[in-house]
Amino acid sequence: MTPNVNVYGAADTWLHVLPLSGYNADNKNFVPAWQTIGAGIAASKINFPDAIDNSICYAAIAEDSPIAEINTVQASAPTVKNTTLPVRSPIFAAFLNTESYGKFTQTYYDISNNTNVQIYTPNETLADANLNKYVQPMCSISPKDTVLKIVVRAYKDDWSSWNTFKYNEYLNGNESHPLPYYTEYPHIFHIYCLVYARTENSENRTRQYIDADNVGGFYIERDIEFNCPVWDTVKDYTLSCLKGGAFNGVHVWGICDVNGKPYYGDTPNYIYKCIGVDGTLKTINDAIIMYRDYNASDDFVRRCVASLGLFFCDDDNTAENGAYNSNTMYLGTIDENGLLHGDYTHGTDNETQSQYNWISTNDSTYDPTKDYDNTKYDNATHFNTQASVGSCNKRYIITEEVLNKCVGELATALTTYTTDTTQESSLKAFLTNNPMDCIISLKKFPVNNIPGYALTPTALKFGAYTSSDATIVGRELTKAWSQYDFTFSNNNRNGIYPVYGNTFLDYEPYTRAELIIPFCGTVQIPLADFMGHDIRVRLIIDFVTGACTAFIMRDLIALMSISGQAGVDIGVSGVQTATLDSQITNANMQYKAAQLNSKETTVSAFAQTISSGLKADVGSVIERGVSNYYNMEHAALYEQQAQYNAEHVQVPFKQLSASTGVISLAYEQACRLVIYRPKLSPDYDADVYAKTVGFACLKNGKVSDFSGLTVGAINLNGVPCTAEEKTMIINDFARGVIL
Amino acid sequence: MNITLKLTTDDIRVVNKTFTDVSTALSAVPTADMSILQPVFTVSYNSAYLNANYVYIDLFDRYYKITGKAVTIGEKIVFTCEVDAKTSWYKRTTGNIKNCDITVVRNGGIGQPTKIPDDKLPVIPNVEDVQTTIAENYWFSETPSTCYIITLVNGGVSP
Repeated sequence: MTPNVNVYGAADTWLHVLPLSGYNADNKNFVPAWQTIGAGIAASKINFPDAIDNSICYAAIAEDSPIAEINTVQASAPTVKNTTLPVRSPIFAAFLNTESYGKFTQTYYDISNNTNVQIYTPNETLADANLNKYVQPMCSISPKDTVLKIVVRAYKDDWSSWNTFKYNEYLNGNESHPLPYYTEYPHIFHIYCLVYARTENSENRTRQYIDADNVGGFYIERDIEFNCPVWDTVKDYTLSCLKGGAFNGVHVWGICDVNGKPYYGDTPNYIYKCIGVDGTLKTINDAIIMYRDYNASDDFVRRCVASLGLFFCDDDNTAENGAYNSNTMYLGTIDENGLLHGDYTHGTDNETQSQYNWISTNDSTYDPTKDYDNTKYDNATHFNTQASVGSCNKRYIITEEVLNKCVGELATALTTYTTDTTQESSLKAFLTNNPMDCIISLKKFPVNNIPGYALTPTALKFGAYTSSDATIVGRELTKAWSQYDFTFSNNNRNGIYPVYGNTFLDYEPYTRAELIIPFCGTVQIPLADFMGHDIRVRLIIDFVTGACTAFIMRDLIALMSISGQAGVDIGVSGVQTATLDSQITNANMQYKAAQLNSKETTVSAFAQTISSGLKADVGSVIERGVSNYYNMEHAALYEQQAQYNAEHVQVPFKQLSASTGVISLAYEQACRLVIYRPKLSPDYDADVYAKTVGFACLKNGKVSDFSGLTVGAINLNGVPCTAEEKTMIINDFARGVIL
Repeated sequence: MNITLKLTTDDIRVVNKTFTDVSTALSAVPTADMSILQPVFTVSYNSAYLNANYVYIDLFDRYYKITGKAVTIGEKIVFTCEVDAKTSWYKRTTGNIKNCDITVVRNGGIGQPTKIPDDKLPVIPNVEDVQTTIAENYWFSETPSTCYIITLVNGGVSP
């Protein structure tokens, strides 16, 4: 993202870090550039509660990064993490001015003496506050000229002492200590990086460690809201460690304090800041640390540093001379949303990452104004467990053979109670005048796999009457519904995946997909929602009413549903049967009318938009191209919406389609995914097309970024040609040129 | 002024054209007031010059398409030219168009279609490839049987 010129000024006004050793001042392409905020150094402070304009941020730390969490801890309460912030914070680099003592981040708070605190972030109410005037954010840094080298500090197994290690020696030992150091020092309590910068403008670059003692430091900062029980809400620009003493670098994980000693907090009434996840608090000699034991099976240390999105390594040689695609050079991964999760690549895989080709962090496509925060969204639909059927009546699963015997059995039951008052007997025994009515309902289901029933058959009980025929038995249904899951897993390539290189041909309206779901019918599904995900269909059959609903899920989230009818009512009397038939007919007619009405109006609008969209003229290339795309897309979506509405109309009674549950017997009882893909003409030749027509795209860049046939709108600011020549060039590019 | 006659076989739309020289630097004389965009000038006759289709005029530091050639009495060749603005301003060492911002709506260099719909791509109308697959879980039997669920009154008194 390009820095906001209203805040940071134009790029040619930025100040380059000339005094910083390690940078070649002659090549401004890779020298970090910074800007004061306001006029002069005294004015470059951020007023409370303002934040740094985060248009200079090149990425953001995702919630699952190992450095996403910030806690406050108190030395006198060594087991308590007071405030946990799962943060998604944009990050940027900042320059530490040498005139300050580096006290521009808020790292601890003295709760015993409110008048003598050292708060260095905006807070106008305290005496020493507002020393943030030395925050000077980097408007740009060059990733390829800034390599971080990992350093860890760890305690001995018996906690008797600690030491500092380059990470490669911690893992592998060195000449004087062949064993890896983690065998003796397993308790890591601090992870940080030293910054190496390029010194020469040549292919054979070397980098030099930035000596922050002399010339100031270079840090990775981040902008977060930091709510603390004792501090006011402030903007906390901290991820870094500060200059001072022997320590210079970028703090990544562990507790830090104001004096550049990011390893312990030793004053009981101070509250310290504690960065990173999965750490355990411990008091050592009245000081508090957070530690994590080394684990060879995870890659925790590197993942912390990878969360900065820059090149990093474990050893001196790679830091100074390593090629950016060498096996010992790592590069933190920035995902398509600009988020850092702690993933990284190394070796030639680094070349696949966007930072590999950045000139500066301004080339990042991360947009901090887009708050894509997936912690605000659920990732699974919650289905309840099966409910029991009420015991007012009894439901049995029976076979056709048993059913055939039931009617005869009722007659037998009536003769059992034959007296002169047969009606009275009937009422007493069956609670109804007509014994047939003690069969409250009879439904036929075209399945035999019904979960949720008693395994042992029991004798059918017709009111008070139990047959003596031992074959008239059924399995009592104890649950009201059952669910059947059908899965099309993405890993097995059973779902929807692109076949045209993930281009427009792989999406609607060119490619369509639909699911054929037993008992429910056919439903079209939007490709964009399901591409690259598992498709799950959860069919829930209601055994009380015979209705069913299929929930169509992307992974574990239900996005759509469609209803149908699995059970078929069997009329056990003439009146019942007539009622059922008329309900079925009405429902079908209503459905078909709704479908015809909605589709007719939208299809004509769609066709009209398509035909107008195919016209093209040179005059306004971009306007025509973008608006045509929008119109076609809009009309296609509108037509899809009508189709979707028609398919998902809740028909009040029986069926959504013309088929019944019985007819479903004839169709396969499985869920089927059908994908309709377009076909390209066999005469299509991509090479010829590239040279004669060019592929539709919408890309911004410089003229020199493109090659081949190019059609576009060019901005000729700064080119000192005549007005007529400008018109010629603009028109030539609008019609198409070959670069 | 000095001109250099050139020949290119590149497509007219090529921006950074490749030239072979048809002549060395020649002295040329305008036939009248000479426009910077559509110059007309004469040079001494040489049959090889007639092969040229481009000319570079150092005075203007521009490249020109030769739109007309005429041999005059007195063994002169008159060249009528029109500026090739894009080539001229691409090849300039300073103030060129290489770093100009551009929004591209079609490009051959990307090699394949993108997510932007392309109404010129030859998709066969009304013809589709149909791909179908069955779910991995096949809950029901291929020879489905049926069952009945009967709901019965519960209760009553034996007479």
